Amino acid sequence: MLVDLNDSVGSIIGDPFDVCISGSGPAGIPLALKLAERKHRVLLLEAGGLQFTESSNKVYQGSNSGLDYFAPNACRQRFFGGTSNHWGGWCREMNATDFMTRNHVPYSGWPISKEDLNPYFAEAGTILHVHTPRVADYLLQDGSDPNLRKTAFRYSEPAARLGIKYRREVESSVNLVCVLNANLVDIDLNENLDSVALLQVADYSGNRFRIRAGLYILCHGGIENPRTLLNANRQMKNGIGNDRDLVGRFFMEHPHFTVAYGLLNHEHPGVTRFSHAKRSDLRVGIYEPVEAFQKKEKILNFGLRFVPKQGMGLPSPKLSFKNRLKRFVCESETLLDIVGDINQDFGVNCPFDMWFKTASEQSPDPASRIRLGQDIDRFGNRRVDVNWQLNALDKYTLKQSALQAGRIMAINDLGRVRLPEWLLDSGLVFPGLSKDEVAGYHHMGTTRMADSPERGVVDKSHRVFGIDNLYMGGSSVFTTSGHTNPTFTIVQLSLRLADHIDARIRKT
Amino acid sequence: MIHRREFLVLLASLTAVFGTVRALHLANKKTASVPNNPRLILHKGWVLRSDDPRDM
Repeated sequence: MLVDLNDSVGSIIGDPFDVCISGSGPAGIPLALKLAERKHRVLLLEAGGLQFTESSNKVYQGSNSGLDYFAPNACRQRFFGGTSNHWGGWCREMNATDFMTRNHVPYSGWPISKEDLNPYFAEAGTILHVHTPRVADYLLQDGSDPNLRKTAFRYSEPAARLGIKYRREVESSVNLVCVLNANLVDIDLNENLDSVALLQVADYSGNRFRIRAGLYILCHGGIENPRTLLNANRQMKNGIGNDRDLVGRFFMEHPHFTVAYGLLNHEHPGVTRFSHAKRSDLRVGIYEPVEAFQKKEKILNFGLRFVPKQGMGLPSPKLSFKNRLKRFVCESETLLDIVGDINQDFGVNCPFDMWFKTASEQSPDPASRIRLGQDIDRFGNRRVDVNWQLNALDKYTLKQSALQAGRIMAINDLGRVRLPEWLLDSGLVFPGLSKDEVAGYHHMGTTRMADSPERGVVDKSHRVFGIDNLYMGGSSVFTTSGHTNPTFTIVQLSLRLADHIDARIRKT
Repeated sequence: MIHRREFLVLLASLTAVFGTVRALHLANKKTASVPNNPRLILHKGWVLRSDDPRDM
């Protein structure tokens, strides 16, 4: 059933539910549908309507006090389907080692392993209607390398908009009630402060409603999940689940930067072969460091993408590769100036034939955090302040990805690359949004999963430490991020959480 | 109905076409010869081989 809080739905939401899920994005919808399918009474709250509205989006407004980052209301969607309404469809499961403790990565190590998510691989693929395209291997030329290996993303194409895809199923469900325009504005705990008693929900006219359920799951995303807990501070002054000041910390993105520009050796038969390939083959050459290399160099995981200029920058046949290279090496500073604004000039005026982009894992760092700002939203809650920070390990990893690209291009004589100035600079300098892609709208780690409350906010079942019936869903529970876009893992985790919730309800 | 002579000419033509296509395919699959372990250097931000041109 799909209803609107603006209509008279008091009698419907007044009933007690087995589970109340707040947030109808990639975490909330699969979870709600699976629990309803198992005959549990599920209430799904969505703060927006069926379409984008300014009034809903404005609640996401906030500030940035760290590195140059997107406006908090621009990188999220606050209506039915959540952020699946603007994701790009890139899918891949995380590597087994992404879940493990790595001595050179502080705070690494999930309390679960990849094997715990494997049973949900196929089901997540169906929900996101994932397909596997052909991969063009420019860099390794179908050979092997001691440091890098070719990997492949799969794609949800067209990208699954879960609100659209599952609207009919939600409407016709007997056990699931989805309420639109229902803003979760506060959480009431019981007297012992160890269990949620009810949720306070408001519509856009300021009317408030009380929601009761056996179990509560917040699926608001990696920025809003901690904001909701931090704002729920009437009974616990630091916010719910925040006894140890961990809620909102360890905010991770996937740093997305152009790490090298280069020239192709068009005399190389491998380059010729690929320059004749169809454009559709050009998009998924992605390389990641093998585990031994990560350990040896003490770096994070990363995804290195070879991006050829359209037409592969085919030069005049009279100019040899070595002559072009000589000119570029001598004039590279001027040429880099020409590149200028990366967003505007790369396709047309860039003098280079290709470039490498890296989407990297970010190291979990308590200094990178989501916190409450001073401004207040229409419901009386403090707006978000995003304090995104990258550290020396993050930068070293980005530089290593560029050096590996340069190494492979040079030893195989496929071309040569140059690192940008900011990457050669030893300080913590990074390009801003006017110069580069910067990040991927991936918000992770802010209610991290851990084996003890000293190290995280939720346990391996997503339950908030110290609060018996409150769970967190989505990428806020990521302990580390790998280099992989998070949506596929979010859906896998939600399906696993559904199994846990199902078993818990049946047990009681 | 096709005569024996026409059939042989057609067969010869097809053999020639497929032979050329195969030869081109194999030529494209060949990789360039690369010296073993060329020494690499970082020069003005470029990852170069030691025998690459560096200055005008």
